[in-house]
Formats: sequence, C-alpha cells, structure tokens
Amino acid sequence: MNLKKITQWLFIGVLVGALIAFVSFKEAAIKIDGKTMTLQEYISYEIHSQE
Amino acid sequence: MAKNSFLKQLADRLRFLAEAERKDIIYDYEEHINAAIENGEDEAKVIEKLGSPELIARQFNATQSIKNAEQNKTTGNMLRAVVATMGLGIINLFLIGPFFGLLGCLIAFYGAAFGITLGGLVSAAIGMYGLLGGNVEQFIHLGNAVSYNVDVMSMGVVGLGIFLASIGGLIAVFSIWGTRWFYKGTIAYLKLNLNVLKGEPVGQRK
Repeated sequence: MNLKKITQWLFIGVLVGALIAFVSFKEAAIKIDGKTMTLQEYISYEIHSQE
Repeated sequence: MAKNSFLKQLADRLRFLAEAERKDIIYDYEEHINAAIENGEDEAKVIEKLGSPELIARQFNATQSIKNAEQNKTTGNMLRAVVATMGLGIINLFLIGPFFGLLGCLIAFYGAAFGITLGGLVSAAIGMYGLLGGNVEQFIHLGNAVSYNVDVMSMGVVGLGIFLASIGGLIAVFSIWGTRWFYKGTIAYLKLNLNVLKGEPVGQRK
C-alpha cells in the first residue's frame, strides 16, 4: 500500500473518529448531585466550580 | 613538491574510494603532469597549480559520498556526505543551523506522531473495553459523586482514539514526505556547493 492510499484511509479515520466522538460525547449524560447534564455542561460546571 | 610525492600523497588520501576509481584519478593526474612537463612547464609549478593533494582528495571523497547518498538513501550516507562536504569548508555556516534545525523538527514530528498514535490506540482500547462490559470507570474517572452512561462515553472514547491515532498517522506520513524532500534538498545543496568549488555551472549534472 502506498503513502497516498494510507493518507486517504487516515483522513477517513480522522473524519469517522471525530464524528463518532462528537455524536457520542454530545449524547453523554453525566449525573452529579442529582442533576443530569451533557459533557459540555459538565466541563463548564467543573471550570466554574474551580474558580 | 615532486610528482611522485604528490601522486603518493593523493593515492594515500583517496583510500576510501574504490581501487579502480583511485587508479583512474591517479592516472589522470599523472598524465596531466607529464603533459605539462613535456610542454616545457616546471614540474614544481605544475604541481603547485594543482593544489594540495589533501584538498583534491577531500573533493573526490565528498563527490563520492554524495554519489553514495544519492544511490543508497540512508541517514548514515547523508550525514557522511554532509560531513565530507563540510570538510571542504565551503558549506555556508548560516545554512548549517537551518539544516540541523530542520533535522530536529523532523525528529520531533516523528516523536509527536508516535506519541499521538500510541495515545489514540490506548484510548480506543479503553473505549472498546468499556463497550465490551469492562469496568471502564477506573480509566474514565470524573469524580466520586459523578456517574455517566458508560456505553455512550466508551463509544466517544473509541471515536476519540480513532481520531487521535489517525492524526498521529497523518503526522507520520507528512514526516516521511518531509524527510524525502529534506534528503533531496540536502543532496542538491551539497552538489551545488561542490559545483561552485569546481567552478562548474550550477545545476550541471555529471
């Protein structure tokens, strides 16, 4: 397999991996102190609680 | 310096070249000196004009090491060609810095590619472990009072792992291309230096 073919597959890997990660993390439900929040909300909650 | 002494010194310093090539070079120089003497020139002056046997040998050794680096592309051959050309004292010192700088960058890129790919593969393995029912919370620990849907989070970690491993792979591929360009560029630059020293037009191929 030549480098161009490998590069194509790696680009596909980047896109597929990013899509899977994005969709999954968006669906992640994190429970803390009885509240359910998304990963993004949890990260901002953690940042604010450390301030 | 006498002719025989000149030729002996030259032959001694060309010991890294192949026997046949060394004999050819010595024969050519001997012929050149004999022809000049037959034309009435003074032997010592002819030899003085030719330059020191050490410098002549360095030029031939540099030319040969560049040829070797072109034919057999290895890091060792390229470094030998660079060192041999540096021995002639003609490499611009302002370009030696960028040369080693670029070499360092390439090494750093390979290191980064290895690290990111390894991180991605480990991440993907942890995610798969979680998807297969393993206790993934020991790896993805968000806090004592925090819980999450393991399947979705594991899938996300698998995706992140694929993403990182692919990014690492891409950096490795670009580093390989970069290495090829760097190799070609270095050889071209060394040849240009030699051509300048020999007084040949730049870009002339032998």
